[in-house]
Amino acid sequence: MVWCLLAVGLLGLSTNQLHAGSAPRGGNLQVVGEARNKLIPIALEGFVGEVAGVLKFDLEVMGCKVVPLADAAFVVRGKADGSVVGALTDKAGNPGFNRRYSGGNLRDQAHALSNDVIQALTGVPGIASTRVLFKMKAGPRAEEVFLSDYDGHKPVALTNDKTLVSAPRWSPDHSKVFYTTWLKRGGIENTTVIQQNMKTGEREVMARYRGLNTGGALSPQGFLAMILSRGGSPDVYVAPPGWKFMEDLKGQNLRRMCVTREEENGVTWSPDGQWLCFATRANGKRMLVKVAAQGGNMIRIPTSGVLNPSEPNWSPDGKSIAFTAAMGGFNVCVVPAQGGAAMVVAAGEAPTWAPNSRNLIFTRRGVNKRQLAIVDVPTKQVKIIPAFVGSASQPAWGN
Amino acid sequence: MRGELYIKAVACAALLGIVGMGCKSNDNAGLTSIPSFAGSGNNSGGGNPNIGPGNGNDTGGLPRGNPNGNGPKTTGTNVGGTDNGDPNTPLTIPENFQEQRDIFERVHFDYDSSELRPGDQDLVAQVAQHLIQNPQHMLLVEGHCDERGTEEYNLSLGERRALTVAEELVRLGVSADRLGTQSLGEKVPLSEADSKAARAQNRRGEFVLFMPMTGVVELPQK
Repeated sequence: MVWCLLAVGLLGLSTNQLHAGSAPRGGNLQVVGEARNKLIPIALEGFVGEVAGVLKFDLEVMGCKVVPLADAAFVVRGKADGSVVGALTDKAGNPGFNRRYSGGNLRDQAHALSNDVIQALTGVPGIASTRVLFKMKAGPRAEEVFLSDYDGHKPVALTNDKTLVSAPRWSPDHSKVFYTTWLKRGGIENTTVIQQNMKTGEREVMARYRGLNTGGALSPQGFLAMILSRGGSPDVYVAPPGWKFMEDLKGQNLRRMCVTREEENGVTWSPDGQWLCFATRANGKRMLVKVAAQGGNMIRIPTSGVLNPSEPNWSPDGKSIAFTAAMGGFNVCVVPAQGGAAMVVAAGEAPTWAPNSRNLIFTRRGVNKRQLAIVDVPTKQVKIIPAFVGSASQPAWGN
Repeated sequence: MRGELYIKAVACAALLGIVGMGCKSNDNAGLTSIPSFAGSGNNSGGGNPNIGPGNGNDTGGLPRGNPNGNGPKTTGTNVGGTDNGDPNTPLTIPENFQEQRDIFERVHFDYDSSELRPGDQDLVAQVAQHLIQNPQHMLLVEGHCDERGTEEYNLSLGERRALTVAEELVRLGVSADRLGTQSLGEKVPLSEADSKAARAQNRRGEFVLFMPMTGVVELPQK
């Protein structure tokens, strides 16, 4: 929704270049290659209050460091007098762009300016106008699924069930979300995988077999992976496209992707839908594995250097898998998708990738509550999302 | 204890780092391959006893969620059913049954383990005896974890714990039809203290008994 508003707004604005004609938009200001693994020092001039705060947060999330003018390689000058105006130059004054924003509110406009700065500097679209799903705990047995801007603003509840929930996940086209609920039916709170339409709010039961039903993850081809214990132990199952739980209450058309006594968890598809990755245990050792979408052997994804991986999340560009390593505390780690040396990027857990395959949003445990945080993977810079009323965890980055 | 586990794990990881992890497809105890969708049984199995009107145990509608957060609406989708004989169907509790928690002592688990402790075998045997003597009664086994695992891992671990207890009950002669399992992961700790004792208390299996509201119940002797 926010994105639509902004797109309309951007179309209608006058996009003026500083020193018209002197440079293509952002053309000579690109920060590429190795330099993208270091923080880009950038100064904000003329912005105050909320807009300044939004710009700082956004730019620092996306690999910049907001510094005094004297230390900056780039400068964003502008103001917010009813609408946000911003101009990007390098230190020497070479122009990038100069734009006025309309539509949405000032926060939305500031996010759009941040995105333009990152697009101009790196050639990669920014993620400042995206949204995230997460779980929020409001009481001892009261958790709901929430949606907010990626920075935690404008949180809205997607459920109002006053029960437990787990692991909200987007469908690949972001039109639906999947989550696990403990809604009471037939006298017990048997776990249930729910699919919820983001436009209409309509909900459909995707699995409610005896025992555990969780982990709903949809592939681009429409295969739905879930963790079910109907076979006597938590195992990974895949339902074919168009499959309806209500028409297959015995699960005869489900395909079991593994048969183990172990605690499989955290199913995630490769972005091309060819592989399914999850966490399991073999010979006493917890590990990440992948299985071809059409079935086959589990293939280990080595995560050398760290222990007890769980909660894998495959990056949108297909190159990396983020996961949580448990070694006393929890660490958010990244490993090449084929496996290899795992890189610890932040203290925390339950990471999911942003659409840019560069940022991860994750959970960090505090004294009394859990809160969300974002890490810029190459620079390992962490930004904490201000705490909500309740305890927030299990974020899922949308678009 | 924790340190010991950590060291063991490190040693194990070091070994694996050298050898690599062989995922043996022919090892039943290890990782297994799966048949494909094609040709998987499509038999309808006759009339489905689990859904439809007139079901005395209608499980209720599923309220609609909030579309982008705009107020809840309600629609009716019946899920589940009453066929407790079908291992696919969640245990369904008749409406005239009451829930009894804390009748039976809890069992506990070691860190990161779903093995039944030898000392807890007797507790499970008491539950089995009760269920055998009271054939109408039904039981939900809840599996809980401490907060040292990740949330998704704990959800599966809690289920594995509950299943281990349920397996033992079946082994002792209880019909699986009357048993359900439910994981709560780390969501419902008994103690929120940050201590070894609190964590040990939280790694547990709980027995939730369902019995008809009327009638005398003979509770097990402790």
